[in-house]
Formats: sequence, structure tokens, C-alpha cells
Amino acid sequence: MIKPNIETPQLGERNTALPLREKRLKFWKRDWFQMLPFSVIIVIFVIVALAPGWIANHNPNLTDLAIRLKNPGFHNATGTYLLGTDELGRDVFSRVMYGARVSLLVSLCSVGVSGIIGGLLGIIAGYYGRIVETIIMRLADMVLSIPFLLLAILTVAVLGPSLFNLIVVLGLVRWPRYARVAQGKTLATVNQDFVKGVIALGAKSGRVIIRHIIPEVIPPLIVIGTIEVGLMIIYEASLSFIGLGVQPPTASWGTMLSEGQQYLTQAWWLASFPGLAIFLIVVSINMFGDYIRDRLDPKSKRR
Amino acid sequence: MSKALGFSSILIVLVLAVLVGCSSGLSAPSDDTSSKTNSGNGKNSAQGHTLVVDKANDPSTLDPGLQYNTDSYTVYRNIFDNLIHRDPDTQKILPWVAKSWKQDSPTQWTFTIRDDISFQNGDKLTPDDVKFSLDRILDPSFKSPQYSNFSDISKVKASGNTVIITTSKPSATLLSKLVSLSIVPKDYVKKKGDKDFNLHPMGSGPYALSEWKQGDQVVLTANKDYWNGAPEIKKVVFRNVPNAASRLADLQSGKADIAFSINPDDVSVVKSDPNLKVFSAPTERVAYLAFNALGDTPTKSVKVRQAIAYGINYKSMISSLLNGYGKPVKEVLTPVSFGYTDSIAGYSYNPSKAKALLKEAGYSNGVTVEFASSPAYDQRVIQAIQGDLSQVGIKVKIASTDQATFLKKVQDPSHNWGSIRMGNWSCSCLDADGTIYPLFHSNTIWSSYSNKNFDTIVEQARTTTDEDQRKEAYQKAFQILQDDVPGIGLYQAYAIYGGSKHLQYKPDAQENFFVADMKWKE
Amino acid sequence: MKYIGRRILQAIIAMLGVSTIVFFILHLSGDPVKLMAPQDASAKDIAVLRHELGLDQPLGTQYLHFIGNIFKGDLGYSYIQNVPVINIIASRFPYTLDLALGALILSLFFGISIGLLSAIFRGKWIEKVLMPIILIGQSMPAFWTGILLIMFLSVHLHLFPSSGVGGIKSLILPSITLASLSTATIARMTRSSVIDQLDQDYVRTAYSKGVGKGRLLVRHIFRNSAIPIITIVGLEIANLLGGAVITETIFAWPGLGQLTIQSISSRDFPLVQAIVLLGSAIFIGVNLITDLLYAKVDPRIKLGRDAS
Repeated sequence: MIKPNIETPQLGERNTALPLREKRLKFWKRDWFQMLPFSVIIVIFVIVALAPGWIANHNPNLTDLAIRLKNPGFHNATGTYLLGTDELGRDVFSRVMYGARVSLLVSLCSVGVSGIIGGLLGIIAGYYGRIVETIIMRLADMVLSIPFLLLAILTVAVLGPSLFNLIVVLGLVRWPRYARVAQGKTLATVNQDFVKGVIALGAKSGRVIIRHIIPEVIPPLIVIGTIEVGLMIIYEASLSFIGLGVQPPTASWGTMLSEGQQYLTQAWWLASFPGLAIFLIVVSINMFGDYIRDRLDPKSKRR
Repeated sequence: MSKALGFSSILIVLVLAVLVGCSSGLSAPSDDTSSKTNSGNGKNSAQGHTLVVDKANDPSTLDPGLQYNTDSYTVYRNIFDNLIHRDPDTQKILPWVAKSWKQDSPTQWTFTIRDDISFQNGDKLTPDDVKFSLDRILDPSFKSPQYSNFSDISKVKASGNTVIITTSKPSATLLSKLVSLSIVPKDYVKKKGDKDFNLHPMGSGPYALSEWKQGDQVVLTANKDYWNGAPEIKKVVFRNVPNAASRLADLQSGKADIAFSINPDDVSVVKSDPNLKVFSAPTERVAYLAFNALGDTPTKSVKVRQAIAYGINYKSMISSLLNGYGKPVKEVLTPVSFGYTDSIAGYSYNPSKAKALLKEAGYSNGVTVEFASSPAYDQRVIQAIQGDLSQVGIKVKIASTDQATFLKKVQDPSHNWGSIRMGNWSCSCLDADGTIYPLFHSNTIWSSYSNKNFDTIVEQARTTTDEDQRKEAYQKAFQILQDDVPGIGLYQAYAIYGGSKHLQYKPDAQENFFVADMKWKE
Repeated sequence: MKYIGRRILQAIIAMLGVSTIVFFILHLSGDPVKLMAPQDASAKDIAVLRHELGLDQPLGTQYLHFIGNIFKGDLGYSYIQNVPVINIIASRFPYTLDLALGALILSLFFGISIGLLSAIFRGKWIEKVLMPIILIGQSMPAFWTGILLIMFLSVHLHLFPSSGVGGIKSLILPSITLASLSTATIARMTRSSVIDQLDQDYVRTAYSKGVGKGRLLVRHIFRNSAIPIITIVGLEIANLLGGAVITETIFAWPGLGQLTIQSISSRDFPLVQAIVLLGSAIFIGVNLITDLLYAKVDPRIKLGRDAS
């Protein structure tokens, strides 16, 4: 199970010493086939998000009360409704396609915003310590300690509802998570003997951070980031549930799921397909995140 | 390996969801016995059936002098008696705590109070209690949100077995407003203090409070000494279940006997369940659109407002979106209210006329308007309107904020809030005055419309007590609203409840929920 | 001890900071008076009500008044319910505590054991079965998980009550719903930190020297991988205690989550402020404990480093 590896590289050297080309090769060669289905799903959704119009066969916002709540496979003169129609007679399939764009945009952008802010602040806090650490980490505590939805509702109330504000809200609310983990990991790394040694030898802070700390900090941040991408999609859904998500008639998976939830008994297809889309993308991104984490981690020896 | 597992788990989720949908239709008959035993468990004791009611929200207060919203009065009107009562069928005002009344002068009314009513603690209900109930609402330091309902009253005097109410000017709607006045026990309130009274309310009504777990439930038990006869249902539990799908699930699982605010699309689910039935009634609540006719928006032009009024397919909204649970109206008022008139033309769906009007207004290439909204309004109706209007070249941008922000925005005196908003108006007074005055008189917080002529007419109509004069005035007022279109009536809303087939209950236009009038038949 | 004293001081400053932020956002974001007044109130009626509540004073005056009252221990009365906010919160908190405890037990047990198993059996079928199951919970919003559970287990199988409070049975569905998210988070963090340790040189060395597997796991690996796990668990606890808005809404659970959403939507300023204060107190308290635990598990981390 756990096999001792006699060829363990020397302290402080590790795999980072491998030539770049070889590293890159190593990055992709193992287990890539296991990732294939997940990569395919991600690629498909990204393509859909970029150009939903290529696939969707209806206008996602066109209402027609005459064909409300039709079963998947329903067709009339205007074409086939592959996944049925919703409570306003709109094509569910087309809405899922167009919803991909909004949901992915919101989640990826807010994770990017919060991850970069949080990661940097966390490293700075962990590395410099003292007053810098106190200020950053207490600020993080303050933001974390305000209930998420409270902060979200109030911010939407003040800023006004829009896609951009949604990203800003989610990004600003989530950075402390990354900061705390980055700070903890930085603290642990700085305390390791070899890093202490490097610092004692007079290495510049920037160099220590880039060469030794960032490689240690990135893997746990990616794990959090992949969890967060899914969470952000779900938070967007939660905000929709209380009526403060993406503005109608724009489709996002979250709004479709929260509207469809009310129709579970008589029209299961309304919520199930966006639910499935969320499930697929969250699982894929998580699996992919794990994979990248294992590849990026200088110590990981995946069998 | 992982590929197979990944897909199998996906399959599981999909299958689960499909199963829920399908099994609900298939398994309903076989559920019959199980859910029956379930609902029987513990709910039927020797004292009879305990009625479990699923409401959407907790009452904000149980002190009838404070909050005046449906969530609160649905509960507290069962604990207290009102001064006068409105017949649910004929809408006529009938005696209740006051056994008779007469108008002494245009500004003075005398009410004779029954002498056989006792509060639940045994104290007698006296004219002093009636005076106290009004006075505390009128006392500014009590901060009653109902203050404006009664702000015309200048003086209340108790003498003998009568109460004399004086108004500062003749008031046509005093009686309609007094229908909502609940009588509280003066001595008890004084002894307890206002704050404690809110937590432990006690009145003369058919039910007494036995427990209020805030945010969870209110439990009432029957007052067996009730002056109008002990109620049949001995115990009521009002639960607070905010999610509509959860209320429906409570009905299906037998957890609740009756649930408020059932979605028209869920009616078929309730009907297909052999244990359940639908209770519904047209109410005095009107769903309407109001336009911003004063701010710097396209709806400043009357032609655009008319184009919108002609661009909405009211019929299909009512027949398909509301499943028939709505009635067309000609104006921003429901036919059950005093002052409703059939004599005006109203607006009906006419897309070509809408397009023509838009062109006349100078928007031949289409126009974009903002629809201010909040989660409190039916998003499906708003989106259906959005869909209809896009067909005639009016692009509707929905700006939904939470209710507090929405109110701040649309009630701001600067009239800078977009172009259209939706509303569901009920004055609980069944009178045109309670609807079009606050909505369209230029001095009110809701109005983004100004017409001197209209203002004069509705002001006069509220200070005349002559019914024919008032009717005539409102007919004129509605004609002005028809021409100026500061707002349009969409439909008369229905109250829809889902409930057990054992329950006998008749909902009314005022959305009252008097448990004493209900019966339970096994 | 000195360290703890300083942390408490910092906590008080942080809580004041939070209250200040929330105070100003709240007062910018809407008007409780408009929500309280009847729909046909005139502008004058509204002005009277506003004056009575003290909301017509300058924002600065209101703020000083508010901060002053906090130091006097007076959190005020709810605008809507007209009851001291302390009483309202005290009546709701036990429900939140029940639910948080239920969810925490489930998510700690399943999170840590699944995380451990999938780290030890990395690449084996066990991991490949467990991880997707965990991810199902993580990829469904609470309102969706909740309603599916209600439909199956309450409406069709009649196993649990569909909503509301009443005995341990009513706690199960909301706990599962609430736990499904944190279980995934904890499991994944456990897995990745244990894997980190498994790859460390000392583990390999110890293993090659014949140290027992079980002993190695308990004495060294789990201990050393505990820090990130503690961090995540701490955050989850604070989250759970803050009240679960969506889960409580679906299951009609009368905890702090529903209270939060109600008080915000009615702009019941004193109540919102008190909930925020409580939330930050819980959060900062849990954080302090987390930090103390760090030092316990990993003596290399010195407490109070930031002050020396």
C-alpha cells in the first residue's frame, strides 16, 4: 500500500529540481485516461458556455403560455423541445445551454477574485507575521463572521442587482477562506528546517516566497478553489432561491433549479436537468482539481 | 473504473429525480391508508381533531393594536372579537361586539355595545375596553402601524353602554375601517404592560392562546365559554412554513390539514390526491401594474402606457398561468368592492394597436423599460408580461431587489425608479377609496402620477357619506384612470388553500381565517 | 494566558468593526418604517413613526447611540415584534444548536472516515466509490437536497416528518441536508492532508523500519495532518452555528437562519445587529479555540508570535 521509496530526493531539492521538460511530461503522463471523461465534460461545458447558440435550438427567453410544462421530447411546429418546456413555455434544453454561460462565468470569476486576493493576503500574513498578520487575519475573521447571506442581501441592496455585482459579492465574501489556509500553510512551511535554513542563508523574501512557499500553498488552495467553484454555483442558486440571483428572464442553472424546485411533483424535468448540469460540472471540476493538485504537489507520488 | 462510477452516480441522481415525479402520480392511491393512519396519529385525541395550519410566515405580533398584516391577523382575529363584522357572502356590515350603531351627525357615530361578552379571564367587555382599544392605536407613543387607518378619528368617548366616535371630517369609510378593530381588555393590558401583552395576548374571541413558539408555531385552544357558542374545532396549530413546496409536501404527508398560498400549478397535485381538496375564493385583492408617469422614463408618455396596456395578453395569463384562478378586471379594483364600475371600456389584448401607439409615441424601433420588482411578487406573471411586451417591441428589463429596497425605491418622492411595478392590493375595506386613493392620489407615497381633477374627485368621494354620490364620483375617477393609464388592473386574485377532505371551510373575499366557522368531519 | 487576553481584546475590536460595517450598510439599504406602516399610510404618518423609532436623527448620532447601548449591554427592542432582541435570539438559538450538532456529528463522522479511507486506499476502488458519493452531496443546493429528501422519505415512505420541530425524528432530514455540504468539505480536506503526510519522508522511513501501520496512522499521520482539518472544521462549526438559512426555510426549522432572513427582509435593525454580534462572537470564539488547538497538535507553532 504505502511503499517506501528509497530514491527519495534530498531535503529541499525534491522534484522541483527536475528539468522543466521532464516535469511537464510527468504532469500529464500518468492516469490521464482516468481524467478523460471529466476533461471531456469540462471542455463540453466550456464550449457550450462560450457559444450556447450553436447548440440551443430555441430562444431561451421566448415565452409561450400555450405550451407550458410540456414533457421532454414534446414537439410542435416550432421544433422539438428536447428537455420539455418550463412554467412559461420556454425550452428547458436551450435554457440549460444558455445557463451554462452565466453559471460558469459567475463561479469561475468569483473564485478567481477571491482566490487571488485570499491567497496573496494569506501568504503575506503568514510570512511577515506580527502586525501585518494581525490586521489581515482579523479582517478575514470579521468578513467571515458576518453571515454570508446577510452580507449578500445587503450588498445587493446597496449596489443594485446585476451579474457583475453578484461576482463582486461572492468574491469579496469568500477570500478569507483562502487566506486562512494560505496563512496556515505558510506558517508551517516557514517553520520547516530547510526553509529556515534557506532564510538563514540570506535568501531574499520574494525568492523564498516564490520558490518555497507558493509551491506549498498552491495545492491546498486549488483543493479549496475546486470545492469553491461548485459552492459558488450553489450559492448563486441559493441567492436565486431567496429571489436575489440573476435577474429574469436570464437563465442560470441556479435560478432554473430554484424555480423548478417548486414544480418537482408535476414537472420533474424543470429542476432535474439544471441539477444534473450542476452535478456534472461540480464533480468534473473537483476530480480535475484533485488531479491537478496531485500533479502540482512537489511531494505527491501518485500510484 | 472511475468513468463507470462517475456515470452511474449521475444516473442515480437523474433516476431519483424522475422517480419522485412519477411516483407521486402512481403511488397516490396506495398512499391512502398509510397517510390516513399517519394523520390520525396523535392528532385525534378525546377532545377532537387538532387542526394543523401551514402558513407562509410567522405572525409578526399577536397584539391586534400593532401589526396589521395577513400573517398576523390570520391568527389574532381568532383570539379577539372585532367591533363589527362583515358578512362573507353579502359583504354587508353586521353587528358583532357593537349590537347597533347610528350616525348622529356627519362626523359623529354612536355604537351600542353588547353587555353579554366576557374576556377569557372572566372580566366583562365594556365600552371602556372599546375606547381603550382605539385610543392606544391613536396614541403616537404606542407606534401602532395601524395609526393611519384611524387617523380621521378625533375623539372616542364611552358613556353608559355606548361608545361615541367623533371624526375630524366626514368619513365615508369609517365603518369599513372599524371592521378590522379588535377589542382588547383594558385592565389586563394595563396590568401586563404592552410588551408582555403582545407575548401573552388575551381577548374575548373563540380561541385562547396556549403557546407561541416564535418562528415555529402558535397553538390556540377553544374558548368553551365563548359568547357566540363554543367552536367545534378544539385546538389549532398555526405553523410557519415559508417554502411553498414544503407546504405542499406537508399536505401530502399528512403533517398539515390546511396550507396557505397554494400555487395555481399545484392545484392539480392537490386535486389528484384522494385525501386532499382545494379551497378557493375570489378575493378583494387586485393584481395591478402601476407606471411611473412622473419620472424621466418612457412611461412618462401616455401613449407608451397605453401601448403596454394593449400589449398584455390578460386572458392567456389568467387561463394558463393562473389555471383559471383569477378573474379579469376593467380597472384597478375588484368587482366585490364598493365603487367598481363596469361602464368603462378597460383594456384588452391588442398587439397591433400597441405597436401603433408605440410608433405614435416616437418609438418605432422599440423601447426599453425597467420593471421594478421584489421576490414578494409572482415572478411568473412578471416574466409572462415581459414575454408579451417583447412581442410588440417593448423590451422589459426586470430589476428585482428585496422588499425593503424595492419600497425605498418606488416610494421615493423623486420618482426615479424605472417605469413599471407590480402590486397586489387589498385594503381589507372593500371600498374604492382604500385602493385608488393611496395608489394614484398625487400626495401619497405609492403614486407616481398626478392629476388635479382626479385628486379633487377622490378627495370629495371620501368625505361624502351619500352612496350614490360616491358611486358617481368613482365612475368619473375610473374614467380618468382609463384615459391616463397610471396603472392597469391585471386580474382579481384568488385565495387558494389546499386542505384535508375532512375539513369544511369556506374562504371569503377578505381572506379571513376564522377557525370557529370551520368543521372537521371524519 | 496573556495571549488569550490579547485575543479577546482583538475579538472585541473585531466585533465592533463588524457591527460598524453592518450598521452603515443596513442604514443605507432600506427603511424599516416603510415596511411597518400600513400600505396606505401618508407621508406624515410615516414621519411620525420614524420619529418614534429615532430613525430621523442624523446617522452619526444614531451610531453613537447604538455603540453606547452595546457597551451598556442593551441590544434594544425588535421593531417588529416589540420584544427585547436578546429574548428573541435566546428562544431561537437552541434550535440552531440542535441542528448544528446533528449536522456536525454526521459530517465529522462521515467526513473524516471517508477522507481517511480514500487517502489510505488512494487509487483503489474504495476511493473511487466514496468520492463520487461525497460529491453528490456537494453538488446539490440545500433546497434541492432537502425537497428530494422530503418527497422520498416523508411524502412517499412516511419515515420522517416533512417539516417542523418535534423529537429526534424531525432532526434527521434537516441534519442530513445540512451535513451533506460540510461532509464533502471535511472529507476532501482530510484526504488531501493525510496524503500529504503519507508522502512525507518520515512516514516512508518509519514504515521501512517496520513501525506498525495502525500506530503510524494514529500517532503520526493523523496528528500531523490535523491542522488543515481543524481549520476547515472550525469554519464549518462557525457556519453551522450561524444558522442555516436555506435548510431552515425548507424544513420550517425555527432557528437563527430563518430569523436572520426575516430580520433582514423587515430591516429590523436591532435584531439584525444582535444576530451579527452573536455570529461574530461565535466565529471569533471558535477561531480562538482552533488556534489554541494548533499549538496543541503541532508544538512547532508558537502562539502569540504576532506580538513578540
